[in-house]
Amino acid sequence: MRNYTYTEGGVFIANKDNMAEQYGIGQYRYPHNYELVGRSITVEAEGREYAIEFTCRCGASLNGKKVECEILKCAPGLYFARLGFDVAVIDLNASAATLILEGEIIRGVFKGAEGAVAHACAGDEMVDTKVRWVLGCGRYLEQRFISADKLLASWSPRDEKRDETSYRAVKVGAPYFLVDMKSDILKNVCAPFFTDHVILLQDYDRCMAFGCVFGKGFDPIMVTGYAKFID
Amino acid sequence: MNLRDYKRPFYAINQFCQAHCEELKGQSFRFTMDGGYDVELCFTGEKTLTWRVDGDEPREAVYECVKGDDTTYLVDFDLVETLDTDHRSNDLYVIDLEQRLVTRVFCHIGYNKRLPYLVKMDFDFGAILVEGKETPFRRHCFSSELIGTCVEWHWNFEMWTHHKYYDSDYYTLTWPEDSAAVQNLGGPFELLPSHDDVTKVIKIKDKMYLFCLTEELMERVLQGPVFRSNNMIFLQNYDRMVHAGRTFGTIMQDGKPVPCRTLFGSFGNPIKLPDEVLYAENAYTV
Repeated sequence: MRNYTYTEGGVFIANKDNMAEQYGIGQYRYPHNYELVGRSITVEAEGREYAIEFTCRCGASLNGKKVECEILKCAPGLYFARLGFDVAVIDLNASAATLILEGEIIRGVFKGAEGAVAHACAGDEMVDTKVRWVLGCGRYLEQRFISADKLLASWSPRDEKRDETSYRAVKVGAPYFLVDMKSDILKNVCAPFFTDHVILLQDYDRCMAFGCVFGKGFDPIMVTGYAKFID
Repeated sequence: MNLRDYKRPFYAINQFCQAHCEELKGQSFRFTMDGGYDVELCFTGEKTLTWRVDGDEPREAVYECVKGDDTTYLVDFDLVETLDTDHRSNDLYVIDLEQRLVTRVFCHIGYNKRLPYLVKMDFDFGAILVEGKETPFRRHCFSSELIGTCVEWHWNFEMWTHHKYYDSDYYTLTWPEDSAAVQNLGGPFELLPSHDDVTKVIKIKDKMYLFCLTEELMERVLQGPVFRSNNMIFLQNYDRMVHAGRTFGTIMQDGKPVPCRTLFGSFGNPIKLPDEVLYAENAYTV
């Protein structure tokens, strides 16, 4: 395909650089990962079992219920999976998984994995962190962790509009934190208007985040972003 | 704790690299190459493969893999028998399952007697043979379509550089003052008449290109204690403005040349470069 147009003055060549507007905050999402396809995992937590079967590249079953599935590989052996409107962080290295099912955080271990330890609650370990997650060209989320359950959030381009919102965080091994942040209705920002939930697996070693943005009236948006520390 | 202060190792261009992709484990491919030979790649493990050309004895290698999109893989490995020699060689394949096409970039060191660390790239194009299916006649191809494109690539959380693609065979590298590139790259580069180097661009599909460069021109001018060189190959996805790739060559460590092979990744932004950069001449060409 030619990338030039003949004009009276000569030839016009169109650039390839672009803002990728078509993807919005999902722009930088890494390619899907299919390593878990065909794998079944049963997670045990507090005496209950949760069965996940990754049946195909875009489908899974969760406790026998068929759901849409998208998976991002965050690190060797560590995956962020969207299962319909729920989330599973699968940690093959520790034989542990954290699920967020209908808003409830479930920290468990693989069935039969002797000595496996579930991911821990992050407590106040993230307090004082001020980070901007750049999810696309000029599209970012800023998070300022002010207490163990509250943070200030703002979306581009309205950096000044910081909303205090609640969050829960799980420590998934040393540099990885799973942050589940509530969101109010957003206006004139890069995220969709009815965003109500942002779940990010944040890697403070490689300074990247992988996750999903949920809300009413739009399909969940898988995201990947890189960190810019604000201070 | 402010997690900005998390004790992390020093990252240069590899901080935003994708995790190694193990999806190809258990799969085998047969490529028919336009160079007149067939290649078989068998992914025997998560990091191991065997490869053979035209029915030769299969040879083992340790590979790394990253993805350009959901169905395009960049697979890279060193030829084991050349490791620890002065003629190290590296094989890189872009396996495009969507179009059943493949590009091979074979890089080797030691061919130039005067500049023994200079990396040479050889390219070949081909198709993936699938039993019962017609072999595609189209190929990935050399391209001039990147001309005019300028991108700011973010390599780690404090380093970003600017690329200007103004020619099929050359590109320009610059960086803004607020980037850590000033410290990481700045010094020796400031001695150069310009930051241009030798490239090749291959079109993989719409909005996806394999951008290949060899550090050569600037090294000739710098004339450091040792002429070293790196080859960098970027699988650039302009649909999402990201890339993944690898570098192969030699770096200087404690004043000595040491082998280098690293995977990298980066996030892009369009950038408006100043006119003095946009219209700068390539000082290395007539």
